[in-house]
Amino acid sequence: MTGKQMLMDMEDLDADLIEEGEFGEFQKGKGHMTKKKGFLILIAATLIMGTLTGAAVYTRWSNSMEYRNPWSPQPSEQIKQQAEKTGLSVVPKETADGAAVSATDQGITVTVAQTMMDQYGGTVVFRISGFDLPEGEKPWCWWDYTVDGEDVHWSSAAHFFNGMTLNENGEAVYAKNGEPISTKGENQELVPDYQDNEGNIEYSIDFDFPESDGRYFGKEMTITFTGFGIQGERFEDPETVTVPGTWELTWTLEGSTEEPKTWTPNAEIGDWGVTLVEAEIGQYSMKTTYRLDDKYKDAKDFQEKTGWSITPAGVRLKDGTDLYEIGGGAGRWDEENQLVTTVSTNLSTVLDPEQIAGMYFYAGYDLNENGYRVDRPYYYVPLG
Amino acid sequence: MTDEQIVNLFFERNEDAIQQTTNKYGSRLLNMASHLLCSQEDAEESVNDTYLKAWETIPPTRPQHFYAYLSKICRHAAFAILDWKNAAKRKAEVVSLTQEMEECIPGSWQNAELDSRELSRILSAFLRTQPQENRLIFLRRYWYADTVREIAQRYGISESAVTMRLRRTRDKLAAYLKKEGIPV
Repeated sequence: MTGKQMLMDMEDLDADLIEEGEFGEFQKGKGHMTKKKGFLILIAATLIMGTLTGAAVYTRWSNSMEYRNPWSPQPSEQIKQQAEKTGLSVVPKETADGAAVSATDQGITVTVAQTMMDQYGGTVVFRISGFDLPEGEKPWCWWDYTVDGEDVHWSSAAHFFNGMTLNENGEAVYAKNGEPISTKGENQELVPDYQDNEGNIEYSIDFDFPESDGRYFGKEMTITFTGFGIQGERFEDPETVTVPGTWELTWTLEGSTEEPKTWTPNAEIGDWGVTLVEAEIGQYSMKTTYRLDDKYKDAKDFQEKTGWSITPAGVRLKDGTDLYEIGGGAGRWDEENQLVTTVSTNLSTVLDPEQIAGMYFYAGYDLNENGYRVDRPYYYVPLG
Repeated sequence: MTDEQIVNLFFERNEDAIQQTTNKYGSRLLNMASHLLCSQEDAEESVNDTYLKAWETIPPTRPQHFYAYLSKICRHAAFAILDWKNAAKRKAEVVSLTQEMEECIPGSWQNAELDSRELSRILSAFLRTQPQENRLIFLRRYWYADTVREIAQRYGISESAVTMRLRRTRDKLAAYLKKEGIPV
């Protein structure tokens, strides 16, 4: 049996499963959305960097945050400084004398290198030193977490920093030395480099908070790693623990509660029959609210008719820079007012809301000569 | 119009059955077919083949899951006209899907010839052991041929979360197939 046969020969899957795949929705949903009615799951698109000048950064940022969006410019020094002043970016301390939050076992030290949090959620970056990653292997790890000693189930996603970014000429390079990225195989697959110049590896976890009122700040988060290892070469090969152990890290959650900047453009988005009612953009999250025309039954109906999950495609800065990379997010449907509200958390970089000039939105697609979908030029809505 | 009403139109040999089917499910079928085929024209052809096949088989068949019935026909029709060589040249999404599936197949299965019904039975049983979220993501990827990005958008999670869940599910599938052994 080949992969092609397997793909084709699953054609007699149970009918209820096929229909579940088309009509089913996540039961758990996003935490803070589950208690409200009529939510849709949407994605958010986002954004940015900054254009401010000057000023030294208080702390060295982790590579994971510095190059969080490898295809966009890195955050400026002033944006970093701003993020630290507002409490968005924090390097948690274990003791009053400033010792880092870290744990050592089996010769491996794990340190909380940086957190980036606002009321909607955030990112925790760990620096792992002393882990012997065999050449050509991809790292893996196992972990669990509690908040104030309780098991919680926040929406999360995690990844290792793969060492790649773009240089000023738009060429793919390794972040640590600016050298061109190696490729392998017929498909010219990019070869990641997980270790920095000191041999450290970074691992980051994005969390979405179930409630967005800042109630989690001040609580103790504990993340316990139970092993480090490598990913399997083939998918039939499971990840392998090469170094079992226990690394428990506890710190107090801190983050920014600074109010986002708000615009009320009430502007139509192209010819979709949708109005951008309000946009709130913070440093690390954004919320947008749209009104749908009556021709749409609800936001789900809109998505099915247009093929568009109603979220921004990007933003324009006042200096003319366009940024299209997206962040994750979720939305809810207000049936009474025919409004869709989408929240994008854990943006792909840190923003300076004062530098936002406008937002871009999906405008549909065309098929090129090869039958591929090519997005039409985005609709633009200025934010005055 | 309910599925049952549409099926009744088929039984009555009322040609409005096709129109009603198109209205209710046409865009979904076209979406799946276009993902598999990367060609709008071919996708439309496979959807039209689906309607024709449905017209030929209902009656006597009275599908209890009408959409799944159509989806199976459409997926089969799409694969029937898929130009694999051309897809490989274009590095189409469907090629990635086959590669991902390839990586799920235990070595002992690689020379096995397996009836599609048997494979589907095993896959169905496996999927029922999975958490609903992982099951949905798997189905979107390997039945409906959605891209990782589309799945992320559909369920409001990050692309890395989709990739991670797919990877883990494939990993578990490979282990399940190994444990299941080659059916004879």
